Amino acid sequence: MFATLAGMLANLSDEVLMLRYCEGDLPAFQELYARHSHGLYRFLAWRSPRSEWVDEIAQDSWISLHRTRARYQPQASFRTYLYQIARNRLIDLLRQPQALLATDLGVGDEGEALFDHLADAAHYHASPEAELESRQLSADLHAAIRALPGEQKEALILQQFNGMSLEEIAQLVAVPVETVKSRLRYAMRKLRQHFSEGLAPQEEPA
Amino acid sequence: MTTKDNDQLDDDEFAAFLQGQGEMARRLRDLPQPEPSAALDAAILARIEADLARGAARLPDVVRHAANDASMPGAAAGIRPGFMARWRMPLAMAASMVLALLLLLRQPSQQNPVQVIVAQAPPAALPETQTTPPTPPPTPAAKPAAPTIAAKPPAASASKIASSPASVPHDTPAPENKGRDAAPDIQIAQADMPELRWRSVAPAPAATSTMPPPAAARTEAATTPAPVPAPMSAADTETAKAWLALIDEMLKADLRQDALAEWEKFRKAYPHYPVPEKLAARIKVLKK
Repeated sequence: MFATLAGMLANLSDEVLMLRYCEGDLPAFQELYARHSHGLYRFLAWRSPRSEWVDEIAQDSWISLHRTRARYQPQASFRTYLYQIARNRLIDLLRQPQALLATDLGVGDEGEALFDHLADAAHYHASPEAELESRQLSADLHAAIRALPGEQKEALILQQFNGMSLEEIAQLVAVPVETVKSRLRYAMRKLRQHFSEGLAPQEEPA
Repeated sequence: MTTKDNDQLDDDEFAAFLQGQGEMARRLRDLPQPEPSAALDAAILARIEADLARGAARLPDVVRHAANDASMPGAAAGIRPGFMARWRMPLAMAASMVLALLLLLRQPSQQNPVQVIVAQAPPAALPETQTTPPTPPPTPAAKPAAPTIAAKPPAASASKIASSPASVPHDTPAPENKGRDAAPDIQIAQADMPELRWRSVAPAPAATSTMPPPAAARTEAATTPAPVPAPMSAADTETAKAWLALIDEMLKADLRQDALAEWEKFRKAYPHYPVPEKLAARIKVLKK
């Protein structure tokens, strides 16, 4: 019976699930959470200047969604709505004086610790050489992404890591689609440039 | 290879990149990604489940900001969605109407009885007084009564009506300020009957003692906010300082649009606050 219910929910769109959740349907919320919790967390982890904020913002975003669920309009994409909440929460946190102070003092670690940990965990079972190389590549790519201007980085994360369409991104960040496209193009060029410059010296010894 | 060829290559690569194809997209896909911990998942799900089971619309005030909340630092606590949100507007309107009625009922104790009678029927008094302008003032007794009466009730009722739901919450908690606020209210309420206003002020010394002449009040209202930058309190200065720091921080984080939006809000709130030249220059460049 549960399998049937889960299968039925899996066929429903986000928006329909959200409407059911608004009426108090817990399985509908669980399905929504299963679909979007990873993507939202990923977005926050890449965008948050401090790794310790990620859990807090993720939790706040879901609870905020819960509290404001009555205001949801099915015309809007659920995912855009959810990410908008999280994005605003992130900006709210940035506004707090202690956050500014921490960043001013250089305490903000740009999420490096989280990603270092991830890189370590991802290559834990590989051979030492492969592990080293892979970790180096990940670190390079991560550094290159971090070096992107914020708006380009945001577009890149949403498009490449969250699989959002250009239209969804445009709606979320409130800019025209062409602007999103332009940001993505610049981001791709910069990453490509970074790697063409960065890999050349490494290839020389070989 | 020409620039056109380069552009074409770039376009092809970009199109592939958007489709998740190509070397760069593959590298990005292979990048290890952060995932929420099981504990976090459990905490969120448990919380929502408990709340849904309770059937309550509200959770503890952990989250103070909703998706579209105002973004001023130090702003008031967040809005309360749910049941009360739906009834806020009608309740506010009902409250303002009750308040307006109460104010009207209190008029007899403050004014003379003649005024009350006219206050209850302003449309009847209006045409009568409007026809009088060409004729000189008839009697000293009738003159002060009619204008002041005609002025008062519209001020009370019209200001309440004109202020609409948005300003209702500001009005309701401070009914004692009515006396102080009466002059500007009356001017607004009577904007469509100038003759009545001018005549009401000139011959009625009793009214002028509580209400300054409209012209004076108008010039005062027009001049006070603009040129005189009010001295800021220490708290305001701190807020403005923190706000500027935030804008600066947003610019550093390349959140240009957010920074610009924040800047507009800041300028509205603190039009005279001195801004560091560097920041002002960056904002100016952004605006271009």
